[in-house]
Amino acid sequence: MADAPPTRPLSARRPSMREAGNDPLSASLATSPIQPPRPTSARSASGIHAPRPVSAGQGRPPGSRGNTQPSRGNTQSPSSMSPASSIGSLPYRPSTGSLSTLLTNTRDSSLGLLSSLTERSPRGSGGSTPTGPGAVLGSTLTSTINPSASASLPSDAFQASHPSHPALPPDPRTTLLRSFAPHIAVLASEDTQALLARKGLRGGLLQLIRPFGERVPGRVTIRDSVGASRAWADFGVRFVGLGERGGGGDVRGVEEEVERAVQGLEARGEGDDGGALWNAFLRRVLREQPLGPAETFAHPVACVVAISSGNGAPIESLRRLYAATNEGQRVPAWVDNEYLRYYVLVHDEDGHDIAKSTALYEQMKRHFGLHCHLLRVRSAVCVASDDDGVPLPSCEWGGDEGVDDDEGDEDSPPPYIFESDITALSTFIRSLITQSLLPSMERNTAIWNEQIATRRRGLSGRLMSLSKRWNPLASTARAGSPAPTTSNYDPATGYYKPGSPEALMRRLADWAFLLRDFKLAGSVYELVRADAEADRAWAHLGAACEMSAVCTLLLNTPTTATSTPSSTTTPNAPFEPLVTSLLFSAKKSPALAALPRTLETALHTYTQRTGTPLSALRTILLTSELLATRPDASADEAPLLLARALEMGLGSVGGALVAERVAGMYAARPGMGAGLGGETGLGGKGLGMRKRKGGFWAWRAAEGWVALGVVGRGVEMLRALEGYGVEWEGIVEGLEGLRLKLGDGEMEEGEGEEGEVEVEVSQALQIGHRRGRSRAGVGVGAAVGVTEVERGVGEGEGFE
Amino acid sequence: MSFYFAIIGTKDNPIFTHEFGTSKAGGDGLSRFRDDQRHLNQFIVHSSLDIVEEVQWGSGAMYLKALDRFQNNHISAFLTGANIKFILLSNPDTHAPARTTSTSSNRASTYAAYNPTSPAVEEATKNFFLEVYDAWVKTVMNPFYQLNAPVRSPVFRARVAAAAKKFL
Repeated sequence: MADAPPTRPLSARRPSMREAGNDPLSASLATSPIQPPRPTSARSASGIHAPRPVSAGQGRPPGSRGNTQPSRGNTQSPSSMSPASSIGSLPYRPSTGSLSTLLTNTRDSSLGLLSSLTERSPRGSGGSTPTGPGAVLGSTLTSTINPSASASLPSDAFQASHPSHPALPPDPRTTLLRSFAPHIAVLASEDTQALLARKGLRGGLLQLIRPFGERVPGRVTIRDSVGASRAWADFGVRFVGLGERGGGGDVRGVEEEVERAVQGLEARGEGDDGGALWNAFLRRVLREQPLGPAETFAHPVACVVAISSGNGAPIESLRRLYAATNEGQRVPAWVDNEYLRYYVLVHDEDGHDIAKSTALYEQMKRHFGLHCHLLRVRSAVCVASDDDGVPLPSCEWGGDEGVDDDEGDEDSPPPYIFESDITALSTFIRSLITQSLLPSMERNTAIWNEQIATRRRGLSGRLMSLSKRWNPLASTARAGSPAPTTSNYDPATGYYKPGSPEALMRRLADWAFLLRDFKLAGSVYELVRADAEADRAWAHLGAACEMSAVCTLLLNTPTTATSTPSSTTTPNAPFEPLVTSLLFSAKKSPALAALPRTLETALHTYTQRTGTPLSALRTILLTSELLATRPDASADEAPLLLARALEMGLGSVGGALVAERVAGMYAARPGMGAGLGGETGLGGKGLGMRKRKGGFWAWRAAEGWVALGVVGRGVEMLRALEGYGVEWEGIVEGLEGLRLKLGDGEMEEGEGEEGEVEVEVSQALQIGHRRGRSRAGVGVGAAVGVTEVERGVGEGEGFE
Repeated sequence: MSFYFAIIGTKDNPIFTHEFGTSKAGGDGLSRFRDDQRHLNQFIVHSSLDIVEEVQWGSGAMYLKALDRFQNNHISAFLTGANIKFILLSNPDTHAPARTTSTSSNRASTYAAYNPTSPAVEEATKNFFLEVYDAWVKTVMNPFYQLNAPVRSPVFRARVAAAAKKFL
């Protein structure tokens, strides 16, 4: 079918193109586009090259070509693909099919009307939410979805809705899910970068599309392995440069970033409203997804290959760029090259002829299949005073920005782009994700699951792994010669060959996780873990255990507050040296029975075997935040677990932050029933609360902040501690010492700009004084405490 | 090995506190807490009351064993009939006095192996608590003693010290 193209004028160039352009073709075929479910024979034919180690994605089995021919036929008319994709019974996909016809001429008059209809309201209300038009547009176009919910931009929702309590960040599940986003590599030709540089975007295409990937307009429906669809409003992707190593930092580096953020907040004199700092810290640690062999979250799921309309030899450059995605220098050897290539033609609206670009686009579609897009942007520089100019939105999860990406860089204002560009970009992202990325991920996941994971779970797979483990010959061979014959794991380099069943299983699990199919992911992580354990692949073991624990927690979230009696800590507790009492809550919630062991393995592996404390820190933050959201007794473990983060080499800033969060977790714990009051010592506190624990950690946080000279937060924490432990001379002394130090700090810094804070300090002191006096006479400690407070007040007043 | 013992009244108020070191394995019975840890001890003991109050309803026993810890500070608790709490904080590795290297390494190894839930340690702690409870009952039988008032009796302190020397 493809060898008889209807357009004759191209046939002259075609033979050379076919030879030279073979690679792009085969790549787009290898991760072949959307297809309806086929009989098993055809499916296995298309997927059989997945488990087989294919040399750089070039050699493809003969069967796959015939198999994918029909889809190339489809590319002649994009609208003809919507029946094929609608087989998945996804309600929005037919409508996005029509969207794809729209986007070939983004500047269509109807669309222009749409954007002119929608552009005013978001600008009027938000002022800095430039994705508004795009989001509204997306929801308007895909009319089947709920427009109000779909237009929610999670980051803005974060800013708007975080609670007043400093220790309660916005839903950690959302943060967590958004932190695990598919990575899409971006590779643009020089002319594209030059075009966008003229526009004022020094970062080129990556900078332009990155913010839009985080906020996919509209809901995105994902089908899981059992065929159930679920719509997600907060789905996003992350664009990275090809081979760009996200993360790879160490604990110190993360902490320095956080320290800068803290100093920034302090310098601006802003209080931390609603745990923004903790959120930033959490996001920064969660963003730590190294491009390593043990986990494939940072491995590209797709690659956007872009040229511009100004390119002299477009097909040539596309071919060259494609070859660049395959060569080994750009990506490490353990990254599987079998991923989707998506070809984008960036059309310069101001400088070039659309007719020519459309012709070129048609040609691209014919050669590369369905995964093409014509992106129409204007090359003129947009300035803030332009009527339809809006600033490029900032990245929440971007790679360049530090943790203070919210309103950081005053020195370099964000570049401005036109509204029409935003419309075009939103359309582009949506079609990239819903029409190419998700179908290919869903399909690959299904194939791998069927061909590898299911086989492994079956009887023969168990026998195989058993024989691998217990084969006496193999064990003696391992002892004698360094090369174990049965394993795909290479201990010298530390990774499984890409394409080996183990590597593919990890990839399957990660992709299932990215598609939010936690059940499948969790079960495959267990398999990966068993493999890694047998092969002594420590990094893989740690990563698998970590994600297995996360999946367990995500899956077994109690939806209702079925609060079990909170006496989780029984007196005859087996004294686990590390996770103190997770074992008890395992009794209460059997689903979590395996969790302590899994977590323990992950942490032990990360800290002792691979020496990556940052990964251990990530594990702790992930799991403790998830635990903290549970309404049942296992929430008790969250602060205990989080406190272990202090053992991961966190410095003073991280330590103070963690202490603050632990205090918040304790403080957020609800008591049971009313306080028993009276002589029982429970008066007004309520059974099961953790006020005193919270106070203790708040004191530690305050101590940390004071030692760092972060006065504002120190005062804040101390204010929360008024009336805490007034009968205990040691506690009163400790708090008083902090207050004095705060006072000293104020004096040294001078009273000029910090006068406001100083007043706060003295107010806090006076309140403490009153509280101290009112409760005096209870014990001897209180008397000492009062004198201490009075001394403190005297000195505090002296400063004013 | 250093200990911090506190008796806590019904309003979370400390009634009696005592610091001491181990007398076993050649210890001199003096505590080795660093100065900056003295606040910390009170904070830890005070914060562990949350756990004590939770555990006390789940068990009928007076001796609540080891129930909390912060870093390497372990908390054991004992509950009297009048809801007075005995809290013992034990810290295995506050630095030992300068000794010969052999014995110090010996001690270090015993500290590393310190396990507050081992039967021997639990038994010793229990005996200590019972002995103190004995003295405590005699002290509060004093008709001039009021609930939650601090105990200043030197005799009581001496008896606590004796119990500590005997068992810990």
